[in-house]
Amino acid sequence: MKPLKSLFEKTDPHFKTGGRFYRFRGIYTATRTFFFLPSPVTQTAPHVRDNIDLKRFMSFVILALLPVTLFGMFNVGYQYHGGEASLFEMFLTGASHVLPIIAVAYGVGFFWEIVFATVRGHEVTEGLLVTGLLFPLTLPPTIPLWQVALGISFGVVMGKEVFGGTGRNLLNPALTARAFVFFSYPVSMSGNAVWQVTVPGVDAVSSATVLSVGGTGGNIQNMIVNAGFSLDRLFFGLHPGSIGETSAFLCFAGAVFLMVTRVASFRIILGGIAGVISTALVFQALPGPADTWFSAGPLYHIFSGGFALGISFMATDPVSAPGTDSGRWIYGFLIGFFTVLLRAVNPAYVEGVMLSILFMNVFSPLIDHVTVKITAARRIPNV
Amino acid sequence: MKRLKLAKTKTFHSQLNGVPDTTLNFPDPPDTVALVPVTPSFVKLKLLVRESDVVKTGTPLLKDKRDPMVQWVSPGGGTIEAIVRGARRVVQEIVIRLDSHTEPADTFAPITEEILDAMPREALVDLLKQRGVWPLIRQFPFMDIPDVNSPFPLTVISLHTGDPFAPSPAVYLKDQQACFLHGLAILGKLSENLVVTVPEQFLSQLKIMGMSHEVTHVTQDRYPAGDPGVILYQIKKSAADNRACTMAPQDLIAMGSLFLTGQYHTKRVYAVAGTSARSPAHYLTRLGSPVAHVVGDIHTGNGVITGGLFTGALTLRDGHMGLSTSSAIVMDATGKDTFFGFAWPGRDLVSESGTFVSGLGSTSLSMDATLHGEERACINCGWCDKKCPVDLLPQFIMKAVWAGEMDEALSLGLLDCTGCGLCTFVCPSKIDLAAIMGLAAQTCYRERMML
Repeated sequence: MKPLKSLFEKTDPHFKTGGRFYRFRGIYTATRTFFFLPSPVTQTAPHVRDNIDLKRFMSFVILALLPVTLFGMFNVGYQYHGGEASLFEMFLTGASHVLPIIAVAYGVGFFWEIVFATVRGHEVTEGLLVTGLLFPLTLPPTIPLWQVALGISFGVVMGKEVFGGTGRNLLNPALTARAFVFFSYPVSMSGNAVWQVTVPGVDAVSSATVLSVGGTGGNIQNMIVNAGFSLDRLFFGLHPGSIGETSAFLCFAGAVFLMVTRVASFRIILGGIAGVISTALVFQALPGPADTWFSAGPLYHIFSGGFALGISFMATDPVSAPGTDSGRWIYGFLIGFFTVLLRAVNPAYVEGVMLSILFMNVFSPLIDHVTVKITAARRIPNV
Repeated sequence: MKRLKLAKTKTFHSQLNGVPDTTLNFPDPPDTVALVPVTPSFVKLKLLVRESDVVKTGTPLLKDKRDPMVQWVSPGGGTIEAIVRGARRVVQEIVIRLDSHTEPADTFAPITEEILDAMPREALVDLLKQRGVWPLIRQFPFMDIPDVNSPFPLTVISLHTGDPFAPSPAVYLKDQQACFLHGLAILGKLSENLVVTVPEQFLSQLKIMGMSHEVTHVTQDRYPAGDPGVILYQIKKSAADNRACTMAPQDLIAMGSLFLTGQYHTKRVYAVAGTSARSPAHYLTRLGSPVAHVVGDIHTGNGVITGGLFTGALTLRDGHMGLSTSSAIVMDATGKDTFFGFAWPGRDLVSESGTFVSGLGSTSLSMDATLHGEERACINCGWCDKKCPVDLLPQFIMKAVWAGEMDEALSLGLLDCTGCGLCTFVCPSKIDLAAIMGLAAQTCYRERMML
């Protein structure tokens, strides 16, 4: 730590105003502050400040995502080996498929972040730490790496940097990246063959996700169970799917952690769950097709697909969510509502979480506008 | 006696080291005192004296350019040693070297309760202006010198803001009850309603002192429940109350004392606090004493915050205590780099967020005057509005201000901001929300003056 510090102190002058590498101060400062969190003397009152900063804020999201990521790696290996290998071997196989995806997402993402920071002359911000991990978790393990690179490029540049960088984006960058890949390369992102890494040379096993069950007559809940997706299996996550979405349990554990530490808004998460439950109950009560997700009921909706991951980590991205308490309830609830709506009435396109969150991202400024006006109107005017 | 309730999430709840104990110490008198007029930046002051002039206690030193009758008077008798100016030649301090033998004072015949009762409002206001007390009263929402033309709709006197480092009312009210009551009587003539508040923790001590009859409202113990602006927000009934006034309790005592004795009151109780303070306690000494005289020796690298913990300014040790400030908090003020600072569990780090281990326990912690991170763009996390005691949405007001939308900022309640500083304190992006809102309010005042 001492030698590192003196190395930095020796290098500092080159990146200061007038230094040889002044242009590249963004990447330099990012590296330096990663190792040594700066704490300069405050210039304005209050002169005392909380110890929380954006680095720690974002680190907590990473921390909450770690179990999800590790389990995702394990599950990819588990599906590959069909569960018939040692735990370590399964994890290793999974990691060998997932780690490159994460590495590409971070590598390419940071490349763009640094390019923009250097050109614009601002700091490299922490938002990418979360985006670069969240994006891979929404992808199937078989995704080609060049698509990962393209996706994260679109997410970071068009989803965030064109608006001015972290804090100014309208849409969640990780979901923007996923939406780009989803609509540009649907073959890599949908169907039954992509959700599971298979042994080369062996014919692809059909590894449908739970959301593709249905539409063949009968009762949807029985069909889900018969297809091997009992509720406990969905809850704990040993089934094919996107890397990070399968374990509702770990996603919600992360959500609880973020809610307790107040990094994520409990209003969004609980609102989303309430939205799913109430909408699913309404659809279940309505006369509709019994063999599609229309009638699946609230529990299957909550534990299936990407809802747990989305509502815990994507919807709670504060930048793209509304900024008022009441707005957050509305936003969360409507995400839940649209998720179930898409799943229920559109059997051809069953995964609705990504689009509902992006859709509500677009509406959050409007929600803010209305709720802020209502809040302000309640005050005794002081103008 | 009514109880005012503020949601627990809207108060500062960390336990701090270095809280002043209730002993009252009497240091030797200082060699110099200074008039440090702490005023909003739109109040332009005009000097009435020059360096090396000889002044008495109570001699006018400054006047307000808008109303030359409003004067600031000398806190001591002696020779003017220096006039310290800040940016744009704004007068910051008028330092007076005290005449050690016979400190001369400007006096007048005492004004007892009977005389006060018979006094017309105009005469009372003129006397207060002339004797340097009027500028100690401040009027919401700009914290300006009060408007002389109309009676105050409401006056809020808060005996303690809840700031853990503010002087205890039980200490500074001791032996000053008569002055305090006389001060209240004067305010009663100026104001339609009078509100006196005290935090719950001091109520029993006030009862023992026989002062609890004056208290109209009891507030919670934690900062900023006792902030006059927060109290005003909780009790105001109509827009007319926005023009309420307030006064620091020790200034109220000084006003009462001035009328009872005919002499400018030059004593103040200062609370010396903080981790590095030699002995955190109360000190009775001269108004406008040198900071170094109040806090004693401090370690190199430490700074002194004068005024409230969240509202005070980081001052140099060779400065003097400002008017209406009553605490001096010594703390570490050296910039530092923490190795992997974002990853430490943080057993001894102060945070109102739930992201540090210290949040689980209730041990006393130390603060320092550093930023703990870097400034970033607002991420809309909403922690500022969770903490705001007057239910503002500081992040939206900040964005409105930056967009130049003054009307929008006003409609969101900009002028209700009391400057308690908690929004800036909790902001993970280290945005100076309180300062931005304070500046915007002053800009708003200037825009109105130009019309």
